[in-house]
Amino acid sequence: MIQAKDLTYSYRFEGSKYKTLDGFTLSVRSGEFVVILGHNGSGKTTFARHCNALLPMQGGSLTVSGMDVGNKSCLWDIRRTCGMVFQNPDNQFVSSVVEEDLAFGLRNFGVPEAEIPLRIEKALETVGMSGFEKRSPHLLSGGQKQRIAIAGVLAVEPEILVLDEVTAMLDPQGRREVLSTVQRLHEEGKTIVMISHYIEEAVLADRVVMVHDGRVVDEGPPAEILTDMDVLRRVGMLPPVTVQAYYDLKAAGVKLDLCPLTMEALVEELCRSH
Amino acid sequence: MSVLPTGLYQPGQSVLHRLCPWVKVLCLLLLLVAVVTTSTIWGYVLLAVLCACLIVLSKLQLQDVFSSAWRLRWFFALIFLMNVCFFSPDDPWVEWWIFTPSYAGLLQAVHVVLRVFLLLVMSNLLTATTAPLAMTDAFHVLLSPLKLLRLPVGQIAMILSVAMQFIPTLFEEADAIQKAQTARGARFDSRKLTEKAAAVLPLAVPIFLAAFKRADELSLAMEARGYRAGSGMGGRSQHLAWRDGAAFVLCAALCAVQLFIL
Repeated sequence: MIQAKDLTYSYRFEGSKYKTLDGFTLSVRSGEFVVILGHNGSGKTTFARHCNALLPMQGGSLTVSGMDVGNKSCLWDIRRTCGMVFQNPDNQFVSSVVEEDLAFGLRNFGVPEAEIPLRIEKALETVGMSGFEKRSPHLLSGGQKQRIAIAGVLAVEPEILVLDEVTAMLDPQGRREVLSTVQRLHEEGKTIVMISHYIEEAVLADRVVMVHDGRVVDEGPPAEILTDMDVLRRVGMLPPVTVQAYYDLKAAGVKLDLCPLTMEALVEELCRSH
Repeated sequence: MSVLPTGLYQPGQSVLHRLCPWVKVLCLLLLLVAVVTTSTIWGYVLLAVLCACLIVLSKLQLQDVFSSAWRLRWFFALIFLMNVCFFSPDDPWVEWWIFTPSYAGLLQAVHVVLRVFLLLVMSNLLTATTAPLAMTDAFHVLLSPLKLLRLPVGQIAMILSVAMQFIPTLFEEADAIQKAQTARGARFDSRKLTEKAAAVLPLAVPIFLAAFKRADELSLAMEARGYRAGSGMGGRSQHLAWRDGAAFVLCAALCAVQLFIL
């Protein structure tokens, strides 16, 4: 679905040595749920914006669903195929009525007027926000806002969903809401690329991609990447609490068979080893 | 945002809600002309009755229609007093320093306050029954003659409507910044007017910065959702129903009555 090869990008042109993306290579398969983890300034957001052709290409190649991102004539098809949700829910709404905001994307892509109410209803149902059509997004909770923002993108029926730190400004409750929505979308077969700096969120993914200094440092299933202390140290991230517990227990002489990624798994392991 | 500022769209299904947005704006303009040119008691009675009918038709809560007028009560009091005291220097009741309250002034004051009040209620009725993007479409249609001058009408309409959206957000932000500055020792509670004005100044820079940042992010989000400046949007067809025609004729008739008969 997404093929990035040697992507290079620098926010300051000519003469600036610092590259935000520096040989970024990644491929995402159809239906896959990929979480891209990295520190602030590691280039993960820049990559996400490239997926939606929001930044001009500077070096390397990127195709989204077979379309070349550098090709201007594909621009609208790319944005229709690849929906993007941003970090701050407040800065994404164009209307103070949920229903109208959802219609915004649909009208932009020329969806027939008669079809719009159906699409809105379906999108709201998917994110579990049915019945909020007439509400004002500004008066909802953070998690609800972000789910409305996701619905606004889903209504257009993109194949790929790029989520750029969508949980960064939410409280734990809101984060849970949004994550369970994302997981449901994944189960329904959407290709999802989620950018995050919360390592706990990566546990849900099919594949975790560690990004540091504009390039992919390591990638693999969560059970492999999130338990690899070397990689984590290299990108300067702390391991999930459960992984930390595993290593601490090991240092204290308690050896668990498996390195757990969730609290439930940790509890289970502890019970079994006793 | 704990309290909704009035004038904000209140979803509904009333006749007023269903009127075509640009016809509604046009009707409002006609009524504004009527209000401004009214000078007889029957003119005011007619307009007040009309407002009452519209409020009933709109099925809005009275509070939604009147609370912004209530919030402006001190402004009303001020314009009333200023008109009474300064309008006519001839034939005053008493003359004291620069104040010359007179009967003519009192009359003028009543006129002005009534007019502003009616204008406010009518504008409120419009914004409370018209969804924001419907308003964009209305601007788009009404400004379309400007296309002849090669002005980007669609974009202007979008800018106007988005700008209105963000007013409450910016107020909230101003409040947050003010609190942050208060926490660091800034004083906004001074009684002296000069000090008050001076304290507001440091708010301006962060608010502008934040607004630019928001604008930047919003434009990115809009682009990602397929907004094309110049094309798209506004192309939405707006079917006119008989009620749109009826509303227009009614408002035009009322305006004519005010202008030529009363």
